[in-house]
Amino acid sequence: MTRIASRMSGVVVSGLGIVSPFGAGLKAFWTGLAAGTCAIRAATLVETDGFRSRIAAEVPGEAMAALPAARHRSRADRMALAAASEALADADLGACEREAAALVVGAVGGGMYEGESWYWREVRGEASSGRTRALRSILPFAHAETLGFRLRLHGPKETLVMACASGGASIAMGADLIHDGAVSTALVGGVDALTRICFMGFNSLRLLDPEPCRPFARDRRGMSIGEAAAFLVLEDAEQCRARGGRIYARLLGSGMSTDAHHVTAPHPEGEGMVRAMELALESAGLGPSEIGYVNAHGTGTLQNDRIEALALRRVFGDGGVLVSSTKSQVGHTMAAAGSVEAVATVLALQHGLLPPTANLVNPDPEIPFDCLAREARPAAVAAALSNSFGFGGQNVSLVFGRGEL
Amino acid sequence: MQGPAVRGLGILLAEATTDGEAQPVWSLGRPAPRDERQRRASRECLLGLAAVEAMLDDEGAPREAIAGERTALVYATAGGYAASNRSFIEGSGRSIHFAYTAPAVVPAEVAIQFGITGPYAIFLGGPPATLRAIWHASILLDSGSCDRALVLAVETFEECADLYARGHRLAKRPLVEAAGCLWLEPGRGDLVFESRGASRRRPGHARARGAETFGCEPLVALDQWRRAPAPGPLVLTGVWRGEEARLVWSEAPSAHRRIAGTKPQSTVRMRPGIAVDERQA
Repeated sequence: MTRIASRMSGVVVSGLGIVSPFGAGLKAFWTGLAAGTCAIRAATLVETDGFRSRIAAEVPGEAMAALPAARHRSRADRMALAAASEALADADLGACEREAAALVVGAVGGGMYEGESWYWREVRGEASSGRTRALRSILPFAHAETLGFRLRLHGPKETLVMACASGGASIAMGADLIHDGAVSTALVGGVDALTRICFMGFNSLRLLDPEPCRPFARDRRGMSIGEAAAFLVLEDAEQCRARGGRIYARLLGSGMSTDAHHVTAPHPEGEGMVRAMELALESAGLGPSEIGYVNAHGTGTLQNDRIEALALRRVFGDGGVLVSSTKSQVGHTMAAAGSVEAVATVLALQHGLLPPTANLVNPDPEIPFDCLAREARPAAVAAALSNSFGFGGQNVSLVFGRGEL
Repeated sequence: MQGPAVRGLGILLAEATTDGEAQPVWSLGRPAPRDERQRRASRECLLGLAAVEAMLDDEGAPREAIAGERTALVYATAGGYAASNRSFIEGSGRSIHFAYTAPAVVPAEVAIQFGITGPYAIFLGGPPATLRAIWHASILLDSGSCDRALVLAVETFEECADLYARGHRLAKRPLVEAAGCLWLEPGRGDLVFESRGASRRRPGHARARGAETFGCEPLVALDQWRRAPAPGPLVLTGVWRGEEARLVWSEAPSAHRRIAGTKPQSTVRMRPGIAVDERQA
């Protein structure tokens, strides 16, 4: 096997934290993922009357209730705070590393869940409390402010809003900050809570499946919306080893591209997707044959899955890699998706178990990949790739390698 | 890190007058769409496109000069998508407008219209986010990931003026709409980026903040610096919600200064919330 020194060979994942539709914490997430459980159920947080779909992957009420209380914080802020705290505790950083850590948050909805309520109540004159705190937390950069303040992170703080590629982009950006020597530690990830505007939007585009989504299935009808927060601690490898930190995985490379094609639709030939994957492989110093698993963007929409499969064929060849979609289990968690799926990919490498594509009964014959239907599969994979794509033709691919290599 | 050179800069700034205290929002209006595709684009998208055109005019460069994989596009905004979110919610969710609720659509429209397919990033926040965007663009140039980098910022306020009025602590000064695009190329000297919690008092820094342009502030300041008779080393400072960021160029970053003969996009009679260090102000 030819191995070229990775551009990011010095960046490792040393901590993970997540709040997902499986509940709060890494254990709940991996247990649900490995079992092939689907957490998409009847929506309770938003009014779904008249919508094509009335289901969603919500963080369970009891899990939210168990999160530490945080006055005046949005639902998304609370999820982010819990996931980020878990990741930092998991990494067991020293005080200095923690204080100087960069914070890169991928976000889109911000505190819109509360903002929508405020809007209709206050602006439409249904009631008036005179309180404008909701306006302060509605903006997506409120997450970084909350995390920075509550977790005492004094390094650079960045908020990336790259639609559904935000979570993946935050990881790539954090790794760049370490690689470029700006910081030696970065807390990176994404967060999004369920909102009515999201339901309205994807409903209007007729992209929601009335049943739990079935990525890569012949009879797929669209996506399911979810919510989550997921964070990773990225560290300079030498620093992590020197302090005896645990190395979950190495972040070997990343690739980002834009389609410059259409504001909502991907390029029909998957040009941008291919370029992101090729850039990620190039920066990792790996060839396609060295990737054993792809955690796909895999939304379950007709167009995304078809074009992503086409792009995968162009990079890996027919059937050249095992593929699955975490969105079949926890829905499309929007800005959090890239980081949720990065956590899934890292855990898959660590456990030697590839999470399945839930609800996949009738595989689409035009998608020439083994999409790990319904059951997790043991496989000692050395390197894996995670894809995230977003509105505006934004494409992010990340390559992770097993920690012990 | 090597400091980038400013090759071109286009600024659109709403005309605001010195009695602007009485008017909370100064609008840039809606640029005329060029084709049917642009007709359905949001106002912030059209302003983004116009800012890029203004930058090309400033440099006297054709559109092809910024097309392709070797051009990076980095976008920054604080509230440039609020209007689209509001109109989508109030319009009960028409599909054609949903995409425009995402801040990402402004640079996406620019990328589509100008054929820009290089590295791409979008930062959210006020002036510090735009300084980060310039820093990120500089890293991309320094690492050879691109040959040129565009930093775009757009801020609109008109459609949500009543909301901003309710959240008066978010915007204590009149809001002046702006859009700007900065063309950076590899330059000389060093560039240093600093970020920290904002100090309440900064002796020695005269910050005459007449109005707010949010994320456009650093680009407006850079434009004013370029118009100085003999601009020297530059320090750009941005403060936003308890955070302060600074970009320090060790040498003047204007490699291709073409100010003479160019016209500002609008007459600025009220000094916007600029962030130029007093040594340059």
